Amino acid sequence: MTEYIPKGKLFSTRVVVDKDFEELVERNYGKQVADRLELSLVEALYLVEKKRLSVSRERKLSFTRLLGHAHKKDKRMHERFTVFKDLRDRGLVVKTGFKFGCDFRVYQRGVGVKRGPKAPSEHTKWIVYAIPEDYRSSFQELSRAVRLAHSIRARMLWALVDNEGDVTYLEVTRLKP
Amino acid sequence: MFLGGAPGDVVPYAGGTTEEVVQQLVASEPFVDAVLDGLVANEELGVRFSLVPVIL
Repeated sequence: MTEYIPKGKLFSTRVVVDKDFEELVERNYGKQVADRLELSLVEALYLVEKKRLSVSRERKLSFTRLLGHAHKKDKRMHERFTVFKDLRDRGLVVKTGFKFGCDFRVYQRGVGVKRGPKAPSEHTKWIVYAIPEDYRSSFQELSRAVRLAHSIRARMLWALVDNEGDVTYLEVTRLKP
Repeated sequence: MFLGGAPGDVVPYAGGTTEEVVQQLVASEPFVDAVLDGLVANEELGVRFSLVPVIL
């Protein structure tokens, strides 16, 4: 018997799932909008690769085709997807970081993402920037990122993606005299 | 451009524009060795950052 997997439709930079997405919500994927679930491209890619989602636009898209589409929409998709996959494979809850101006918000293992009042352990633990080995940054940019993390009581991580696709995480902290 | 190499060393800013600092450090292998569990500093701006590898 073939296992049923949710079906999503591709709309430019997101994938919309209309039904049977309860398990995805339970596992902290996407954002529920009214009676549907919207997934970012990295989330959709990850789920398609794991064979837990099928995505179509006119017809069903393979992982490779979806990846090609994602690359056209986001030149940093390689780093972002590599880091997202690494974090998810480690069992961490990963959400997009758009509203904080970073790549990802990451929560401790076992924490469910929720709105409203939260216990200290339920807040974002890390804000993550996915960067290639030859990434160019300034001290000002670094300073802004660290300050942002501190303002939400999170820790700032650079996720450094090397040519082999391995990820090294560096925690960046500003030291005061 | 950057001196030091042992974990925990301060990697001094030795010239160029401030924008070139981290880019050169990150782009160069010696920097990666030096900066792991170390510091980067820009004395001109008066800032220091520690960069410590973490296992999640």
